[in-house]
Amino acid sequence: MPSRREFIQAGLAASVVPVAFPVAESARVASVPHIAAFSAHRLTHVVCDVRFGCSRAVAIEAARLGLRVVSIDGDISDFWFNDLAPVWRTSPHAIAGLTAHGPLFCLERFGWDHGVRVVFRGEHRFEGGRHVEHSLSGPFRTIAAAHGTLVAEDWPTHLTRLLNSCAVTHDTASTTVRGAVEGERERDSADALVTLFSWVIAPKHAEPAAARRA
Amino acid sequence: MAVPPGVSTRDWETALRQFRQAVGESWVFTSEDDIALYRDAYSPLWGEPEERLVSAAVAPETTEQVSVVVRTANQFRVPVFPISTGKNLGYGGSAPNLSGSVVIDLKRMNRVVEVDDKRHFAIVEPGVAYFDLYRHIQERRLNVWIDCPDPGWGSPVGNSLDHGVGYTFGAYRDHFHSHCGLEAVLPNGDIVRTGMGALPGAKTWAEYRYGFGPTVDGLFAQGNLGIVTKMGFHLLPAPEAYQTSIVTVPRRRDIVPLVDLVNELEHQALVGMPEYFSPLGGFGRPGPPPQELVALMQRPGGPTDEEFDRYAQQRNAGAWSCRLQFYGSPKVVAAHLEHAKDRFAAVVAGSTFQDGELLRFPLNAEQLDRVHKVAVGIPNMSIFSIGARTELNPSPSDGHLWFSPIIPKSGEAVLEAQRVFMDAFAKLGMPSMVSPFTMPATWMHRAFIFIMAFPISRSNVAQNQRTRAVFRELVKVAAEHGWGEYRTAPVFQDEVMAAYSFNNHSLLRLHEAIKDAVDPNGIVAAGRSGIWPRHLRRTRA
Repeated sequence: MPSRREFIQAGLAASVVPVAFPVAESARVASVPHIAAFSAHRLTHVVCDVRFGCSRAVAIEAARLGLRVVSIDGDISDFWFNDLAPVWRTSPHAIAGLTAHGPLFCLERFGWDHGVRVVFRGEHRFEGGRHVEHSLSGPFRTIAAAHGTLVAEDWPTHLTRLLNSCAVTHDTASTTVRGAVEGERERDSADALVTLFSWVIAPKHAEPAAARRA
Repeated sequence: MAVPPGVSTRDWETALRQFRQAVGESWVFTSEDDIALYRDAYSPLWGEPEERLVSAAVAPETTEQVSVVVRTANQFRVPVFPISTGKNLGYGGSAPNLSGSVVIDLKRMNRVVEVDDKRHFAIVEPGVAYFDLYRHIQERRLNVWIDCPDPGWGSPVGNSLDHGVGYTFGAYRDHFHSHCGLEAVLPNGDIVRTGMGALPGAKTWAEYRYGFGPTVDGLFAQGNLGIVTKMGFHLLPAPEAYQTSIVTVPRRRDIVPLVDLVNELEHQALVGMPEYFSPLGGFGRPGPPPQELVALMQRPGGPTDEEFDRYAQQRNAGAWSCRLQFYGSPKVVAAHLEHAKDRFAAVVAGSTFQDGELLRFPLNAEQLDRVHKVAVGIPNMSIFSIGARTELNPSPSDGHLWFSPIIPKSGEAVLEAQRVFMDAFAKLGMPSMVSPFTMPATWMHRAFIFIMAFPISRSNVAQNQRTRAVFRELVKVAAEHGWGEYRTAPVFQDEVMAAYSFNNHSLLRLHEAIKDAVDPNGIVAAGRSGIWPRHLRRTRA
């Protein structure tokens, strides 16, 4: 799990590197070959809840993939007001994250009013400091890919790639994967005290573009 | 697709067709995925057959479209339930009282009609969220504040119509009280404006609330006589500065003069919303209580006031504190604070003040991080930062149910409410949500809310059933002491209204008489606040 210093450095890198989707695209293809065959949503933001080591790890991988990382401490107010609301008002785009329940709850409901929905949802519950149980629902191919990747100790890294490659399809699935927990430090971290949620919020095809006037 | 109760399939299909003609194909929602969005996320009936669900939703964009939709609903006797932004969490969300109702979702009506920062008012539509109004003001650098609830994703119209409250000065944080004139669509589709809005060409819609003749605005708050499509609101002129100071009093019985003095300061508009707490325990105190306190609390009959005082003295702590909020120019803030100190020095021996920093607006980023944002008129969502698991709330993400009895604004009433509700929890055999340190919410200007949050589970039906039983019992206990809830979820609205029973429920009978006259087909928000239309009165109420 990255330290706060590593995380901050990654955040700085993300903030000075322009959003570079070609890099993200190639990384996505390389890391999740089963999903590369069809179009994924382009994530405009990856939301990282800095209180949790796993979420900081997602931020580092997202930055490496060239995605724009948004750091929150459980409060989505600034992100919503300054970044997301102005964008979604005119053109809803996909976002993803690994957060506590509260931020997801808020963003999901904000999304409903703008024609976007949660299309992938993962629940990551730590069990006695030894395992983490991943309960996932979303597009079939994304769920299928999770089986081979989220069992590893560095599951947040793999999760980030899954989120980045998630594409809305009509066939959905759900599953539960039990994975390993990384090291003694992780067991004692804030992560173990809560259930974390990974998610992709994206325009749902064949539905009205937005519930608000542009 | 569900068909609304009492409506034939043929009429339902015709009504849907007319809804689509009125608002456009894209804005009538009937798929399960779409209408599921209108479930109450915090429903105490989650997943049970009695959960209040909708049959469809219609999202008009203009008042005229609302009128057409309502006329259609009235023609085919389709029950409708209006929502503004639908964020009434803990009090019912966007779910109707009557399952099968069609939600009229007003989020597309999101125009800020007018904001005046010289005469200090706004006129907005129901889909305008507090965030939207705040953005409108900030982008134009207007010299007014909004008073917003916490969280700030609701709408001024919806919140005020639910008697919602905020955090600044009393005249502004009672949101319905701060409204000034409204526009509504009646159940027959007629459009009405109240106050000065009723006078064509008047420029004083949001300045003089009465106009001429009887005032009817209150009938639309927590009511079901129409669908409000515009409202005016008084706004607070932006102050230059802000400062808090915490006053602490040493003895348990000092709660009486503490509340009396704060009332005096607040009702003279010298302070904004006060926030009471006990340095000894209660909400917000970190960690488990000290063993000595636990031992005191477990004694038969509980601790005496003197024992509480000794416990406080040993810890060099006071018994009660109140965070006072001062607004205005730095000179005004300093004068009001000095006056508050003078009054306490004269009345409560041993009272102390701990002054916060004087903040001048606009705040810098670091100050913004520290300040309680709603106290300075900034909408936010920080309340949704993680909820910790506790014994009482093993699944904090599943939501909560507010129990909100109104009690008098006095120290004596607080102590009585503590005792009464602790006894009630003991009799009900469940852990008490109230302690000798529990203080009321102070959002109301002239009363306290002795509020409690009951956890709701999405997976444990038995827990929810137990919670509902306890809630209903507490409604009775409160009523026996003259305390009534100011707001509640649909599932409890009949019981709460029944508690307001003076003269054989004459208030409810008046509501019903008006309902029958204005909405004879009973289509708008049937059952809201326990007011059922005639054809459902016997079976539902």
